[in-house]
Amino acid sequence: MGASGETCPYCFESFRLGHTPFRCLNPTERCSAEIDEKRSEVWGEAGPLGKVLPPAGFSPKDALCPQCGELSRQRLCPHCHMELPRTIGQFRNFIFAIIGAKEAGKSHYLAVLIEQLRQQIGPELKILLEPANDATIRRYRDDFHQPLYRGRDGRRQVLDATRSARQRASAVRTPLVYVLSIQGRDFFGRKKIVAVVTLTFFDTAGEDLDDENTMATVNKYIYRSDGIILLLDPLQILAVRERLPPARLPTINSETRDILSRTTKLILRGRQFPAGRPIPTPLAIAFSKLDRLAPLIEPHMQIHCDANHSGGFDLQDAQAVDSEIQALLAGWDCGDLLGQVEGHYARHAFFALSALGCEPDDQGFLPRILPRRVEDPFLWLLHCHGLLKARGSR
Amino acid sequence: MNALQARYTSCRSGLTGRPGFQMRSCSSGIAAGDLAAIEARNSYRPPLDAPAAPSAGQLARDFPVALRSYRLPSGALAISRTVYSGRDYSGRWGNFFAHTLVLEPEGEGLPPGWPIDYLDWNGWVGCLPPEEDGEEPPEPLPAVDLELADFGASFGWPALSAFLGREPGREKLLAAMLESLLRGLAERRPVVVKAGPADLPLWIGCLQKLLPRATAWEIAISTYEDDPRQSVALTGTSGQTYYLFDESASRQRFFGFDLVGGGRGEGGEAGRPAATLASWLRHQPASLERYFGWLDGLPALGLEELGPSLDLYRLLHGERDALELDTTGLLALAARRPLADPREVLDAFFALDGLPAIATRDSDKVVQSLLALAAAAGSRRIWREPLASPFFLATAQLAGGKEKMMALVGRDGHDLCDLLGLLGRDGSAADRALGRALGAAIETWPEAPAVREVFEEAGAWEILFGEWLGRLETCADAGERGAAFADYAGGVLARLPRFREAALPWISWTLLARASPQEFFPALRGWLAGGGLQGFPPDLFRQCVDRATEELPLGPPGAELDEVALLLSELARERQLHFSPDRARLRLALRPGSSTHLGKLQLDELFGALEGLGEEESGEFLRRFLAGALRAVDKEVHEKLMAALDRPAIQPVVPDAYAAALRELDDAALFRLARFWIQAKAAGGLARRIGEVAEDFLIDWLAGHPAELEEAKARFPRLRDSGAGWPRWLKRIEKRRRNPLFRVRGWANGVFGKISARRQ
Repeated sequence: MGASGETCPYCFESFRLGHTPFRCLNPTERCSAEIDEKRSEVWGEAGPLGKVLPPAGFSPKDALCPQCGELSRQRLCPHCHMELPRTIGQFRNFIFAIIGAKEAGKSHYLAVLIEQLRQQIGPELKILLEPANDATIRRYRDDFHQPLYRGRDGRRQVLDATRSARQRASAVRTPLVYVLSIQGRDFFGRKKIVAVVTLTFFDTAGEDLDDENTMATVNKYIYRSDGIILLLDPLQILAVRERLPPARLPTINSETRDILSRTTKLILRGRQFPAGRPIPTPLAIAFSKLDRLAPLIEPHMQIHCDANHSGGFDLQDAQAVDSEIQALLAGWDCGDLLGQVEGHYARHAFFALSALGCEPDDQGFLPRILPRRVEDPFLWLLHCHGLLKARGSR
Repeated sequence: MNALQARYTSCRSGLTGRPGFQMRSCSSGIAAGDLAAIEARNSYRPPLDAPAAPSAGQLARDFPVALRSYRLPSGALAISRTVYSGRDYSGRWGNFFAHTLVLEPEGEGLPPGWPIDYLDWNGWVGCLPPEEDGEEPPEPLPAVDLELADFGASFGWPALSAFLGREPGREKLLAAMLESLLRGLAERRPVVVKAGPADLPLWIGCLQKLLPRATAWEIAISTYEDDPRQSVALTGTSGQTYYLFDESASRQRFFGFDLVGGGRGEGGEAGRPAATLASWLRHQPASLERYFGWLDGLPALGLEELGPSLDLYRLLHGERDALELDTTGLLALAARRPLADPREVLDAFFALDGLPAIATRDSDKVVQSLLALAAAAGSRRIWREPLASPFFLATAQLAGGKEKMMALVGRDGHDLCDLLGLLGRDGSAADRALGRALGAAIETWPEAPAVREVFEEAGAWEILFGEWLGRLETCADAGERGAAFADYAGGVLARLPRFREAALPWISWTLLARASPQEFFPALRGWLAGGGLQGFPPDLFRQCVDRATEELPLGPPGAELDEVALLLSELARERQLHFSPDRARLRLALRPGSSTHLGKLQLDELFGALEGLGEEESGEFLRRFLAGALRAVDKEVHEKLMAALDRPAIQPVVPDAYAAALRELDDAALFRLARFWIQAKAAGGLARRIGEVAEDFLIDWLAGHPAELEEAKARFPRLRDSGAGWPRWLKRIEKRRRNPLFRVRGWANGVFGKISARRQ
């Protein structure tokens, strides 16, 4: 990792650990702050920050501030000067992209996934998910958890529409960065951390996927990711719309049809893969709003059940759900989607989930939150990378 | 002035053709880069404590409005108003509507009013009505004529004055905010004001309206942001946002003024300009208006010029207290910028109650500014004015003030002489340095000939001489110096006879002082022979003679240098000068034939002239002198010589010099000296050491010369006073002859002698 290069969890540029500058963390009273031109240029941030200390020597672990003499171990990304997580260089950094068309439910999915991982699935699978920095804590608390779980005015509410990352507001452009520790036992049965990974989630606005600029942060997030969760709104499928009562159906969004082909093109162009070679990045195609689809799914189908991830990823359940959804899609005239996935992606699986498990009222308030299968695609990605064993396997 | 429009919101269809946040519509003519910059700035997130599902009334009342003004990449100014609009076409909350005006500057003109005035503009659009949010592409927006715009009175002078008066302490707080803003702009640290949604624009308005319009348009503002990372130079925030006003957070990133929670970051006490402006806004808005009216139409002031411009305005409008004004700054500004009639500025300045105290470091700046103003006013002899003269004299008394002032004045010779007369020329080192600096500058002036004549008339030799020094210092070698002198003599000295008469020796000396010995002594011989040197001023005469006596070489022989030595000796005798060492005397003693008069020489005086000479040079002199003297010396003179050489200053070098001199003598002279030394009585001190050296050499010589030895054996035993000396010499000679090394040396000397002779 350290020798072969790292990826910044904020700007998604690659760099070598030995090339990272450091930031003096001494308070202004002891060491005067200064404008960080690069940070300002990339993130549009105003105001002075602690001094940037250039790396000295081969693969330095710290740097001494020439002004105050304080030793700093706070590494910065050489490209964007954001503070890197403390685990950088020690553990692999995984970027999992959650993408989807406008109103596909990405923000809700992300909010509920993190909560599920922390509160339910995490303890079951002995996975510990911790925010990597204060910005992630604050952003998740204020933008996701607070409105959805605690509620404004004492009532739970659906999340606001996600602002575009093309806007200067860096809170939108800054990903959520988590450290995921997977616990296990050693030969003698003692508890130990068997793997630690840094996870980066970028809450994309659907409209940002239209940008063809490969250097746009949101696009780098996608083509440099280690796993993609593509959220599709089944209520945009014509055959589904025809079989559901027309009331409360969302307006038709034509971009849903194109989202997969746009993503594929982006990855092929960004990674410069030769044509015809399948993309190795695992792709989880997840249909959101499963609760709305219930009337269209046979009662005996595995989709209606909950997966049992206790002790490992429930691979059998996933395979069953994958087959069922493929069959449903074939029935809904979505053969082109199946063809695209088969043709371009070496590893893929279909999932169905519901982040909220219920519909909000007219004002956007939620009576409760009953998530269904939100963790399945994520755990599958962990499984694909060997971070999580299948249930029952040794 | 026309303004193009752009509208941004979350809609079904806009410029992208897809749903979501995007530019809904815009006027044609906005550059793509500008449009992207507008989109990047168009962000809005409500305060975290704002109502979750607000009613229309709450939307209008409880959500802060973000008025932003900034400059676009193309250089055009942009002003936008962003409001929270609640739900978008899909029914989701979080939508906002940003309406931006791109102001197309016409020539150098500014948009009407201050940016904050635009908050009251009745042309803003705050939402996209659902019936207009269709799938069809929007029509381009028309341009807006701002000259016809109605800005309302919410941010007029009376309203802002009343706002400040609503609570005690607001005026002082505003002054502190302005001070922080000025400091923050220099340090690139934003000023953030937190207040309620109603008060916030008024605070930003008060602060912005303390700045001239041109300056205000250059400073980016936003009346509402929720994230400190998005702060601009002057930012407002309201409600629960990510802005923290605790000490550490604000110190790190911004100057914070939390008017809700009472927290206030660093920023320091307000300076005089900030306090004055805030006071005017509170108590005399008309003064502020007049001040800005005075500035209107002038080029935009830099921030550092704000204080001086205020002081200049106050000076010109009746402020008479010199202690209250930043004299240096206001004069510099008045001289640099065409803000006022220079004559008016000068009159007002010299009409102050008492002359302002000028810091030493500012003296040249102040004088420079005054001179520039005087020049612009057509009054070149400003120091002649009764009010100005004391000021100049006071400035001149500062350390280095006189030189700085002289270096700054104009190029008119009369002006310079007037000022010299005013300042006084007392021949001090400072005056000479001043003359040198000025003189060196004169050379490049086209009006130099006229200026020089004025200087000559005034007897300002220092300045004219300084010019010559200035030229001389640019010459790299003797050739260039000669050419410079020829040019100067023809171009300057020939036209200034009085100066020539007075300064020629000095000018000549400056040339000689830089000349090599080969150039120096021929010139000196001419002066000595012609009597010119004797006519030099005493200190210049002494400088010439000192250099001559320091550098006159003792050898080799040469008629020209011998003549210089002779003339110098005569001059020294005539003027009773004493040199130590006296090189002229020593050189004369080495002339061929001088040794024949050895008995007559006053040996003590001669060897006394060696004092001060280095050991090496003393030894060399003695070797050459003794080699001549010992050739013809008799026993009596030899004894006198030995006695005279016994001087502490030269004792260490005499034995070796004597031995070296012996090596240059012929056999007859050596035979004679051997006889002296055999007869020499036992002595102590220097004579004993010389005797040992001489005896050793002579024994060696006799052992190697059989014929001379036989003659010595025949003659020396019969010598009177030889005593036991000769038998002892004989024993040593025999021992030396038997020594194998001596034989080898003799054989080698013979062989090499023959080879050497053949070569010759």
